[in-house]
Amino acid sequence: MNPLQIAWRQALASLRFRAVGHGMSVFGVILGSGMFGSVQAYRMALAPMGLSLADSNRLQWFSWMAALMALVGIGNQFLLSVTARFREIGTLKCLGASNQLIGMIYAIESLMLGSIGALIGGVVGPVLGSMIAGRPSLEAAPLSFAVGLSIAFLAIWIPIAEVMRLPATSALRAED
Amino acid sequence: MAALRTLDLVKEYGSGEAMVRAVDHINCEIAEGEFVAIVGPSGSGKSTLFNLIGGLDRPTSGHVYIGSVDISQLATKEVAYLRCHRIGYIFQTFNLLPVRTALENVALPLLIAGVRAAESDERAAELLDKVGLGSRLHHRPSELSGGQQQRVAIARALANKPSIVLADEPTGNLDTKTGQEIIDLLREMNQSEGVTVVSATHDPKMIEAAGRRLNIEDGRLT
Repeated sequence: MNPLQIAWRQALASLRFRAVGHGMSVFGVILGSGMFGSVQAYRMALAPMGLSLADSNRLQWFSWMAALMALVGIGNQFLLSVTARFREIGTLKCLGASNQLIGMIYAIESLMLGSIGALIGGVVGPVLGSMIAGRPSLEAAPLSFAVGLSIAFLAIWIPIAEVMRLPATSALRAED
Repeated sequence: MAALRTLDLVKEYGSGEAMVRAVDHINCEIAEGEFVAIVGPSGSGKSTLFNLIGGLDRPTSGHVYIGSVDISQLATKEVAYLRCHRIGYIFQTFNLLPVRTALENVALPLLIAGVRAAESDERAAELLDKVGLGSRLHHRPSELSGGQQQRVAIARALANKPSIVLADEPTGNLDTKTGQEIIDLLREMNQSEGVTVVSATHDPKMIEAAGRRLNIEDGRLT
């Protein structure tokens, strides 16, 4: 079995049995892509009705700030979930898992969580934003989905770097 | 050939005045098929020695040979390969992956070694049967008792037919009776399969079961 398949199975098992921690991450991505999407949808809905360039820029700025804040929040959440799993990571290293394999497990997990969150937030946000503007539309949905997924993907890199630095002796520490 | 050999092994922590030499020029040799207990009070350097011979930590100087391979000279990738193929680890806290079943836990090192899925499952089931858990293949660690979890861990450690099994206080988290069962199982694997077992331990029963004890104090063998 190749490393990608091994990582895929491990990530899938982890997603199924760690609902609470992962739920928080998904919620973060929903908020990020949702806020981004609602402001973008609002801007897009008003654009044909004579939105000034200054107002349009302001809304752009709001939406990207929301995405950035979500990135920080989710990065934190991922870091926390990795810290809680130091022993598991040490054990995987003792079983001969390479850094690459462990990195893959986390990358797959974050992409799956990101997809779920970005799908929900990327639809709900734009629908709400455009409704507030009085012209319901899903125009902003694809971009919001992409932003949500990117947030999840970017947020996992610092935790992954942390995991790779971790010595295998973390498996031996007695405290839970 | 010796299963494991150390040559002038030294591990120092800190520097200058605060420097501590946790392992102080240790030379030892463990033959294939031996059952050895590493014994020493806490702070003696027992854990450090254990980590060094398990490839979990790098020595300041000196060498650790597993078979003919000097593991102190290996790159990260090579260490991972060695851990996978040549060393089996058993921990005080069992360390099964909580989200996987007993069968999946035992099959994982086989999959990492590149064995096909069907074969891995077959061998994992065989090993679990051997440690007396043939009827618990699809239970998760949370559904198993401590003793059962340690049995799964033993099966997992043996999965890739390692040249050496390292057990760190394997009975430390178990009651006396269950601990004895684990000792008996290790002893049996040692005798019937010829597995070399090295265990860091305080447990008098474990020490008694071992064929040889290495006493360590202040970083030196006594």
